[in-house]
Amino acid sequence: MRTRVTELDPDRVAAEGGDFDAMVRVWRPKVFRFALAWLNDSDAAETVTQDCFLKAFRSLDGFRRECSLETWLMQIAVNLLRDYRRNRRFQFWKRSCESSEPLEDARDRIAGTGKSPEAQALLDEKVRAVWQAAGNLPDRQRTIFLLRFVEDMDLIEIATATGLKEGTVKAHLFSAVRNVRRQMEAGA
Amino acid sequence: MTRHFDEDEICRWVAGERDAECEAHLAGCAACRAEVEHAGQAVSQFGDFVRARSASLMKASDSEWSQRLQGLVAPEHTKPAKHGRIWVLGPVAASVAICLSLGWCSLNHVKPTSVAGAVAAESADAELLRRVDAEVSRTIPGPMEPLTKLVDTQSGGQ
Repeated sequence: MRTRVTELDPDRVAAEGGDFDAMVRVWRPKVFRFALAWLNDSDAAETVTQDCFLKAFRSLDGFRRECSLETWLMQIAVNLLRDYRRNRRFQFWKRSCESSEPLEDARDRIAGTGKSPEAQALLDEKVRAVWQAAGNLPDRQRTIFLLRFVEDMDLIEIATATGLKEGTVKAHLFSAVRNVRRQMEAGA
Repeated sequence: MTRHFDEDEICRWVAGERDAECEAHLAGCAACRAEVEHAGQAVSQFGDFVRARSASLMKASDSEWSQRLQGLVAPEHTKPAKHGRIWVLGPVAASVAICLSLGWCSLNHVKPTSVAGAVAAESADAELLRRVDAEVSRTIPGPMEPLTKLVDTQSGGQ
């Protein structure tokens, strides 16, 4: 892989912090995490992550460095997720909500969890409710909500990744938070 | 600001829209502070949870994953590039066009239009006419044959 990418575009790949293997190593977790948050389905998230890097590899020549490589990858991921949704080939959310995966694995990894079983159950419930509410958001709001609260991206980075203006991102983020809170209150 | 935060102001705060007036109010209002902390905590815990969960769900190692990706990328690289295809398809298209035009010419008996071709065709016609004349001459009756030979000799001598 390294040789092939280096042959393809040595300057660009090197300038952005190494080779394609390094790119995968550094940004694969981020892309997978965002896809998982969006789809709530690990297999589908894996597929989207793979498609994202394939697309990145094939269009590396077209990368004009108008943003960071990381933001460019997120841009590709956002487009892929939108296309999947639009094509309706996958009913990810519906399916994954019907068979939610157990939370224990992740819970154990969250730092500082020394909670009582009751507090832990409450936290699980809250997390599940936020995720469920995020899944019901319109695509654009969901994307922005997840980029902000899962990926910790700032408004400018989100604007670049989504191709929207900063003010539009701000408005969508506000709407997303309000919708999530409303849904949680309605569900409580 | 003397009143408590309303729902929109809480949402704005959680979304990151913060101004000095809101900050000043929060500094002095425990109720609003508790409210925005609770709201912010819900989304931040969600973020923590997704990050932890994705780490536990990433099945293949980076090297395995890279190898798989390489396997998917490799067949693409064996195909000719788009601009390369033009060089392959161009001559093929030209050959087909030439064959078609030649076929059309032969079917429609199109004569060559060049000057050299026209001269050659004209001399061939004259030769053919001469041979026909000779054949016709040979079909004259027998008594006239010596005279015909004499005419042939005279025309050959000219």
